[in-house]
Amino acid sequence: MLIATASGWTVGDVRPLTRLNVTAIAEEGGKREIGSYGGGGRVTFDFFLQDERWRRFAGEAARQAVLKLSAVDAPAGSMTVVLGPGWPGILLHEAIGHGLEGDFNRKATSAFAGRMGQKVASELVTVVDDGTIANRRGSLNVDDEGTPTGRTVLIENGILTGYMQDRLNARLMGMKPTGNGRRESYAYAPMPRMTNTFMLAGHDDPEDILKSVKHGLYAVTFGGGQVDITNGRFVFSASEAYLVEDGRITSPVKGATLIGNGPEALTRVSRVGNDLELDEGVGTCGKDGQSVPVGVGLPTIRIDGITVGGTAV
Amino acid sequence: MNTDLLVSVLKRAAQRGATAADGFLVEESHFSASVRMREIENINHSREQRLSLRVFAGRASAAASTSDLSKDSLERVVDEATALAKITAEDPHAGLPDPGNLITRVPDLDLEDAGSDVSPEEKIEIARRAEAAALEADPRVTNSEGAEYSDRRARYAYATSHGFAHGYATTGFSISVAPIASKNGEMQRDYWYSNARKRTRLEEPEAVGRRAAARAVRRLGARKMKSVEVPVIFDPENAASLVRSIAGAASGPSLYRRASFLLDRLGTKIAAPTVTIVDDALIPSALGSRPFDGEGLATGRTVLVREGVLESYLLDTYSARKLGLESTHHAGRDGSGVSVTTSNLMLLAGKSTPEELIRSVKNGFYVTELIGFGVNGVTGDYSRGASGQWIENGELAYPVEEITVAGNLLEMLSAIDGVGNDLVLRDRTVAPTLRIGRMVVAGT
Repeated sequence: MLIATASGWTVGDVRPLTRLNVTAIAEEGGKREIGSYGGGGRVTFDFFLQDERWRRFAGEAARQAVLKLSAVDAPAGSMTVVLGPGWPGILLHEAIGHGLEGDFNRKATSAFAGRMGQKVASELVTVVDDGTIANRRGSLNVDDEGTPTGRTVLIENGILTGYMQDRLNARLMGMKPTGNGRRESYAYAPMPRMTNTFMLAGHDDPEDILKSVKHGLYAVTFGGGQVDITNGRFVFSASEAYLVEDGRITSPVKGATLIGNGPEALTRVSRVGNDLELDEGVGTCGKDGQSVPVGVGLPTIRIDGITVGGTAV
Repeated sequence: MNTDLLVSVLKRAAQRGATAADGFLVEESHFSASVRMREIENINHSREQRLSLRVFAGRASAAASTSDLSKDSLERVVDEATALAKITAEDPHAGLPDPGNLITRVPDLDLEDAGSDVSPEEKIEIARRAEAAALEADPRVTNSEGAEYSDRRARYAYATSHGFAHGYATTGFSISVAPIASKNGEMQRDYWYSNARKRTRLEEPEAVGRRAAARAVRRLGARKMKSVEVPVIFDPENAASLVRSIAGAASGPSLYRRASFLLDRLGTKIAAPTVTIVDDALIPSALGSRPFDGEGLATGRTVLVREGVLESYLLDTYSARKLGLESTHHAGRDGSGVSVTTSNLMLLAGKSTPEELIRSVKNGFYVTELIGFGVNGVTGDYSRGASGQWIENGELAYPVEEITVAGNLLEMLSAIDGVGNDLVLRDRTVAPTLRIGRMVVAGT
């Protein structure tokens, strides 16, 4: 791709993007379930042959599908939830990421508008958006306006510290572009978008985090999520989750949507693991009809109270 | 539309060794103007051409598409697709429909506005009027994500190597408004819209703006709820999303992958007897109408569910052959390949007014917005974020948010115990107000 700007300079880039997704269906006694797994990034096809990644993806999809055949109804109501590392970082993307995009804050339509410098998360929480990590699905050398990507600290020890900006919104807000101006293709106008959004690791052993839960949910794989920027309500849907009883993982539960309030949900993060992982590279983010590839990441965390939308009252 | 270009492309594919081929050509121009807080936010004008091509080498096939319609580019696309088809594995079900089944006369469905275009200034003014009406409707409307006017003019042509070559044209117009209401630091956004094939059939911009404002304002003061199992009423917009989920599960690709909760249920009861779902492509001037499908087959009226019984799946030629059935003429051509798509998909109206449905609920939930993707098309398991109004003693009592509604689509469809009489064909997929006897609402 080639970007030319009104100021007269041009920048070119090569952006490979590959992804392999496997979907498996398991059947038993007339019951069917689906499992899905995949990955990729700004890599070429041999990535999937390295360490037989393709085989691991297929195995994971099959394992999930078979596991879900024995899943029990998910609980309904507010409870302690432990999120596993990696892809559950979609929580950050929905709960705070979109709300910190410059356009919504320029228009004061975000639940985070005017809250810069305020506490919006537990002090254990530091969240960054980083477009510079080599070969990740959300990474870019320069954004789609030619601004070099960077590392923007969105939340530092619980305090709101940064917005993600494109050129237009940065200029209108008197701020600097952060390398987050992105567009689906030439046919669309750029706007502020995330790159790779993740929470920095803490100090807790993930096993200790699970052991600390008397009754709750342990969610390790998610489908998609969505947020209402203005009132801050966000959802993300667990596709592989387990009940936790007396610190032990017990039955797998059916998929359920988790719902929370962005400026509030991360204030209830009580434990942060030392096991930060970035996702395998499957994320696609939609905004105003434009899709762009993104990454997320999370260490194991414990949230003391988020609503789980199951059917078991 | 001139189909010569398509015909020449298909001819070249044959020369390169293709045994059959078909092509779909779209020419589209689009204009949109958005206004925010009474000032112009964006003006957009685009023209686009796309040609998608399917090439067969016996039972092997390849698909390709391009937006570069120059001679060199088209020759390269054809040559590459044909070469690719020859090295692809054979699929016994691949192929074009039987040429004898292709449409011979293209019906005029009155899908094109014959009026002349209006100036960009007039279009901007429509958006401005819609937003102004929202801002002026209520002092609590304090901000706005803006209002947009847009129009689209498209021409479609389809041709096959059997000699079929036909086309049609459509127009589309739309107004949408997204105001924000606020009170005591709480902000709530909502929206309303009007879509039509003809400019004069758009609702008045002021009416759209006022409706959007009323929807945003009624969300103020939203509470959370305790988890409870209650009757749930879906307003028409959200009831339509249930119909979309059913159509997804009834579509060929979901079925032959065995990834559908409607698998093996043809001819069986899947919903309450008050539920009839129809896909009708031939309604004059309707938003989802089209004279033939993406494979040149005549479109018509398909009864998907009749009085609760699943009567038909939604199939293109490939998925039909794979399932041992006949195509229902629902092929779509969105990307480079062929998909299954609906036209005007409707859950037909019942007898109750929406007020009667609400009055019938002592304690329950009226859904006005759903978010998230918590619908499992394989099992029908359903869990989505919701907001709306709580019903107490038959009346909308107060707004609620940060809750979920959950169940299983098959159980939900069987539990429909009220169908509204308020069906309006204002979008491609529509439903009236629906009452579902019991669902789990999860909250605090």
